[in-house]
Amino acid sequence: MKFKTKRKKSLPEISTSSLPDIIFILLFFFMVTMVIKDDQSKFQVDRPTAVQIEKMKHLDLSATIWVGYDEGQSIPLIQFDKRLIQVDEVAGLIAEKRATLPESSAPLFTTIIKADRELPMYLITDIKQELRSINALKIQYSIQEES
Amino acid sequence: MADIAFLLLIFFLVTTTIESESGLMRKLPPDEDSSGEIKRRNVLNILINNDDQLMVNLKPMEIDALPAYAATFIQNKEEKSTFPEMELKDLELLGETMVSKQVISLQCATHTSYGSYVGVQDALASAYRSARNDFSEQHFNRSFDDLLEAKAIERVKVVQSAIPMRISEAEPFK
Repeated sequence: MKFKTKRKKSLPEISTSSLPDIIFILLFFFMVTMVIKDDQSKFQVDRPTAVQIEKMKHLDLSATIWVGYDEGQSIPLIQFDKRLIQVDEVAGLIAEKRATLPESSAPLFTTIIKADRELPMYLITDIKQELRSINALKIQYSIQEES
Repeated sequence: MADIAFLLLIFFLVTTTIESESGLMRKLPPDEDSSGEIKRRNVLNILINNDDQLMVNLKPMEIDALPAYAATFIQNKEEKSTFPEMELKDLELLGETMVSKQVISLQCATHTSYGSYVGVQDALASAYRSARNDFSEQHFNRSFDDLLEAKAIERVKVVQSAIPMRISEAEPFK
């Protein structure tokens, strides 16, 4: 009797027909999780560092105020929504922004203050007074994350 | 098909920034806040001058020493007469418990730098954290961080109401 021994046991090729599907799933994942970053400051802001930090939960219920210096200048600048503003405009603009949210989530509204560590405190206090005047009491002092 | 999907995928990979805003969360006092007189011994007075130097209860102090000092002040375990008064407070789960009537007052100068202000806020946050950890370990045999992590909300609330974060801020001085 003759035994037929298979000499070559070649591996079957991996099917690539499902590859597009996998890639699409990945693609959708990234599309869904992506946040288009559009809050860039027009000037350099060197934020302070801290240890006891908390992460923001409701990013959509927040507004960011940038405070810093233009390069080599000593006059502080305030930026909100891509434009430079004066201190006394803060209350109005934040109130406007808060008004676009549903009323029920207004208490959760947080103002993120991204300020330069070299800034004098009177300016920060003025901004806080503005926020108090419109009852926007939740604030976050944004810090530089060490990477 | 796969090529196009790949291209799109790479585009999204490159442009995506997984964003997380982290920082120090604080709540400002309401506008018409008119707090009554507080006894002097209950207040830890912190001043930061224009050169970012600290003065704690009229004595100069380095920022590194502040968290430990503030934590002992907040708890006043030894019931020192210069530290805050103790009172019996009716807490859930624990019943009547001795807690201190601590308040921390933070005042800056007009030209104190924002960086050092945030540094002091951070130091106070870690003082409260270690005071809460202590209290929690004493009464629940677990640290406050543990409770937070385990999401033991009831006990977290008890600790928070026993040691509330009371940082009052005065207008900057000249």
